[in-house]
Amino acid sequence: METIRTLILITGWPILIGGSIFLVYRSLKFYRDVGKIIWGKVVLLMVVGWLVSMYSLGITATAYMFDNVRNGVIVVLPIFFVWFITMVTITWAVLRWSKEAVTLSAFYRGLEELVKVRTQELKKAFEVQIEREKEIRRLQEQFVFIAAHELRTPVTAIEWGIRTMLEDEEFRKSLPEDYLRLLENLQEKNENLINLVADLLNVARLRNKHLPPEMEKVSLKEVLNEIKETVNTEAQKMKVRISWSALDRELPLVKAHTISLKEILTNLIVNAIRYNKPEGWVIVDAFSGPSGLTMEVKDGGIGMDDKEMEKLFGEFYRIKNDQTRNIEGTGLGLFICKELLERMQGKIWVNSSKGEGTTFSFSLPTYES
Amino acid sequence: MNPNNKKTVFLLEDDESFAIVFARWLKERGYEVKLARSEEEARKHLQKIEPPSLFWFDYYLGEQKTVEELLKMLHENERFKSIPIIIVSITVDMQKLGELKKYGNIEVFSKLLTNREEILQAVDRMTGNRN
Repeated sequence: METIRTLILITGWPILIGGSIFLVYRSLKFYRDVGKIIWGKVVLLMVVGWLVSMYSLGITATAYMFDNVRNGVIVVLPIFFVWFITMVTITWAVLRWSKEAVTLSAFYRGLEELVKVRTQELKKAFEVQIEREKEIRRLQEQFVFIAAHELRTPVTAIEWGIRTMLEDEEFRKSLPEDYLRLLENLQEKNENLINLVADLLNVARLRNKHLPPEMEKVSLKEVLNEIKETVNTEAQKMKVRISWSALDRELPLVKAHTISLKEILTNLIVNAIRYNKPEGWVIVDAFSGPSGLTMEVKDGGIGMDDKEMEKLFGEFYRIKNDQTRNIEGTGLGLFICKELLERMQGKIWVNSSKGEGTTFSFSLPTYES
Repeated sequence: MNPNNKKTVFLLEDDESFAIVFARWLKERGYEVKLARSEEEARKHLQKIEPPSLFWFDYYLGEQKTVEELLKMLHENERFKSIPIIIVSITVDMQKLGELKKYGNIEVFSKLLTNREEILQAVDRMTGNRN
């Protein structure tokens, strides 16, 4: 009995201590390898729990053995077996799962790295795409700009050349009548060409959705004052009276693109003048409402029927009848007005009665709406 | 100024039609005109001639070149820096052209939107010519 007790005491404690050190070392290594995942924490807790319980049992058993050797051996031996089995099991589990957990952890880390790399690649591809879009936009802007310049230069040169010649009295007197008439005719045709080029360039810009207008705070009254002179000249030629009622009103600022708004108003008012009766009238008015500002260009001109109104805002559409045959135009003006207004979050509509006149109205958002 | 007491306008215009028209306008208005058809030609002339009363430049000089380099050169040259400049252009980016004012007393006109009298009045005003 003494021998057994001694054997247990001199082997049991070294095995327990040695096993504990090995277990603690492997568990810490395991925790480090596995990282912050929950499994590492569970294993460490298991090991700590085992250490506490085994050392408690060991101390109790040792004390028991010194008190009553025979009973002590009977109690300690099974405890010793339990120690041994649990120590081997836990060591095996830690070693075995440690390998798998490390592999899994390495796999997850590999996945994380892969995700990072793929995200970077996507980001780069996205940036390349953005740059490409910017380049396309730049080329489109450049094309429209070059087209504008290259188309406008010759027609403007022709316009100024012919006008300069026709303004020279001596030169006019020196020309045969038919050549003079020819020059005047060429000048008219060239003016139509200038208008057509301007309209086509506008349409090209509108079609290019990459060129949105820059919206500003615009005073409608200021815009009307700027176009008044040009429009009045046309009105005087056609002997049409224009009332600028909008200029007498208090109007809020609108969200618009100034140049586009000038173009819309000039188009609508010049149309009202051209499609008018001799000694006719045009009223330019405006009023604000809950949905924004509404502008009206009203005339007592030749008017149109419902069928003609339906197609009015289409490209190249012109009303063709005896009254309109001699009225110049490209058929793009109202199409351009509609497109420009829609891009400014506005809208345009028309009311008309054949022989009695037409009212074009358009609305724009204000800074209050 | 030249011996006839006529004021001189230095005209740089690469388009022949515009060159003929503008030169004619200016001569009829009583100005002497020195014409250059390209920036290179303009630089050569400027080395030899007396400073004019006014520069009249087309903004675009062909092959997407602009007159900006020449403006910079004139602004840095003591002989020319105080001479007023008129720039006439088909396509007018007002913001861009507004930036050109750093090169001196410059006024900008659109070939599409301006008329003859308007530009000639500006020439008279900028040269101090009474017409």
